[in-house]
Amino acid sequence: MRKKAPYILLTLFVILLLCGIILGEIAKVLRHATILCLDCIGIG
Amino acid sequence: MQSIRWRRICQALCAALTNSYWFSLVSRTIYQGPLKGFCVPALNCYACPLAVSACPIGTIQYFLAHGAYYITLYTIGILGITGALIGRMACGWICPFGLLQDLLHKIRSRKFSLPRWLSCGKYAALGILVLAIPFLTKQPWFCKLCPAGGLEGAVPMLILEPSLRELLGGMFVLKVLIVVFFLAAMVAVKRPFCRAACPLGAIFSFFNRASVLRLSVDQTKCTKCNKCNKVCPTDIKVYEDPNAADCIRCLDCKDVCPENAVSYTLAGFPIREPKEILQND
Repeated sequence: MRKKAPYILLTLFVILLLCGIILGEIAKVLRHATILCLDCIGIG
Repeated sequence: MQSIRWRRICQALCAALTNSYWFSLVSRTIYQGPLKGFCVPALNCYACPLAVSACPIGTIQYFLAHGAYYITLYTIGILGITGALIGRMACGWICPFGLLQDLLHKIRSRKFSLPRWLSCGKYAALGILVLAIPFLTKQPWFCKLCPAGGLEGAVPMLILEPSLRELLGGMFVLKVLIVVFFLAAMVAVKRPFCRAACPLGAIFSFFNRASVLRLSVDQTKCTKCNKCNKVCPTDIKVYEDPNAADCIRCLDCKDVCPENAVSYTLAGFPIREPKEILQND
């Protein structure tokens, strides 16, 4: 089981990634990341 | 070529590639192209005018604060795939903030060891500042305090866009103090941010014991000379626990071992460098 753990995890996270892409999360990340993050630069 | 040289080349390339929007010096704004939709598995602030990718920690906080179901499956998927494949190797070979720490530690000064209990700090940063507080307050509190954001985002943006300086307040002062503290710590201590405060390092550390890439030490060859421990950038006891949570898979220990006792496997297949193959033949 221990030897299979990395591959089980890999499969799980590939599924999560694909679900995120199908749900349109890339567009949400893009929308957020293209606005200047005022919190990141110490404002707000 | 030794791993250390390959690693420096890889780190420099990754830092250059993830921060390649030099047109920002003219446009005075951040990159807003399609690459910003990709979360690179490293701590690289997306407020940096040169940054062309998104920060996974900032993205996690944003979704916790504003997402319809709070979890970003896409970002968790990217981090999980990276971790399941190579564990914490992204910290040692990809992260620009890790490169900064490695370089600053080369400055001649008195060096100090980090107390082991401080390694728990990164899990506290993850659980409290990245997950709990953003969920409760709808504010990205780790981003507010992040020294990578301060150095890569705040300083360059305030130089490029002076109008932002009018909006500065106490939070900026706190951020600068945190940046100065960590810059000083990086000179005196090996990778202090990675070991004690990085939430991304905390996430990847969970995978070190269950990743496709694994390190091992042949105890029949190991003479406990401690050369591996001395060269380790995160001060782990390599021959006792080569897959420790703090191991960033830099592979420096493998290079310095005089007995070739340290090895690594990928999907169970041993990886041997050309010099080892020639020695054994």
